[in-house]
Amino acid sequence: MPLKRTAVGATAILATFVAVDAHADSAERPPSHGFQMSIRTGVSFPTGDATGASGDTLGRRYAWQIPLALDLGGKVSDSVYVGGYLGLGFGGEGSDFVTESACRDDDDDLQNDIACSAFSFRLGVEGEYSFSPGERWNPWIGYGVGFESSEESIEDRRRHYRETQISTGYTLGKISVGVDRRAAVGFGPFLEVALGRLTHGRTLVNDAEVGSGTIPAQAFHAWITLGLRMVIRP
Amino acid sequence: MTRRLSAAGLAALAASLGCSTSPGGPTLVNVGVYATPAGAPEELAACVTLPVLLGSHVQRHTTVRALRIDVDATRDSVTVSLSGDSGTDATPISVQASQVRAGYSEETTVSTTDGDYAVRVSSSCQGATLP
Repeated sequence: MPLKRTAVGATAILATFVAVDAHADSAERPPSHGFQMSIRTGVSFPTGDATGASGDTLGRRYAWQIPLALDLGGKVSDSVYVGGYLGLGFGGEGSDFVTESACRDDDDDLQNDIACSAFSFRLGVEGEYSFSPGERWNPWIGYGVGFESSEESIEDRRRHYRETQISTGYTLGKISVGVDRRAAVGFGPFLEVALGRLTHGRTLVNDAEVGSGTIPAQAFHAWITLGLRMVIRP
Repeated sequence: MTRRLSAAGLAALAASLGCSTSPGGPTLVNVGVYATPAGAPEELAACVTLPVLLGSHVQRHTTVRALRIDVDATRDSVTVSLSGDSGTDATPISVQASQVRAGYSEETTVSTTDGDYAVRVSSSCQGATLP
């Protein structure tokens, strides 16, 4: 199951972060300049509405997800970081009863005849401000904007039917706060709220596009993520 | 002595143990749009399988001589828009998915320069290969 594999992978990455940090230099470090990179993971929860259609909430379409995100950029001053982000999220179908029922594999033949999954993608630019860039513990706040895409799929292998619904739009404000423990690498918790709006939808059946268009009734949604990040050259 | 259980035997055994033998999965519902030009036999102009997922749309655009047919289906409803080349549009036919599942058929007429077309929207797609 992709979700389980992702969870194991994320745990392994975090364990590596902790091990590296445990052996890190304990001396005070001056604020870094130039290249900086971070990797984030945790758990993301959908809130708000996917569209303005009645009952079409983001949570009915997508369940919670495990995100994996990469931030690449540079410190342009002691406190200011500017860069780009790339994020992926892996999860399952949302709480919609009809979809949940359709995704259920009812027999006990030990074969996965019905499979459902959800996936999200984010790409954008962001800036961060460090409040204590030269201290052991550095609280920070960030803001970003970009493009986002979420998709959900159902596959009925016995009937050779595969449907994918892809919604794309904009992340209008990705607000994040956190605190890093600065050492050879930085490591710390963060909270992120990514406010977005889906503007376009596509439907694929058996990998052929059968529908596409602008979403007529658009609405706001947010992905709320709680997690940990590792920072290279904090 | 080795004996092999037949598939039917396995199914009966599974059922007796309280196991389900139905894989479940989505319920696929079809809508057929049939057009009958004046003096010609009825033909299946479009066959659409309603999508399963929230937010999905299946759109189909087709023409039968002078008649244009546009189908837009979500998992909850289907709208069939009909227009003739003379600019005459018939009132779109909107059907709820629950009606389609229960068995549905509605007929209307559209005028074109090629004559009148009888159009039937039905919850079956006879003669089509699905999906």
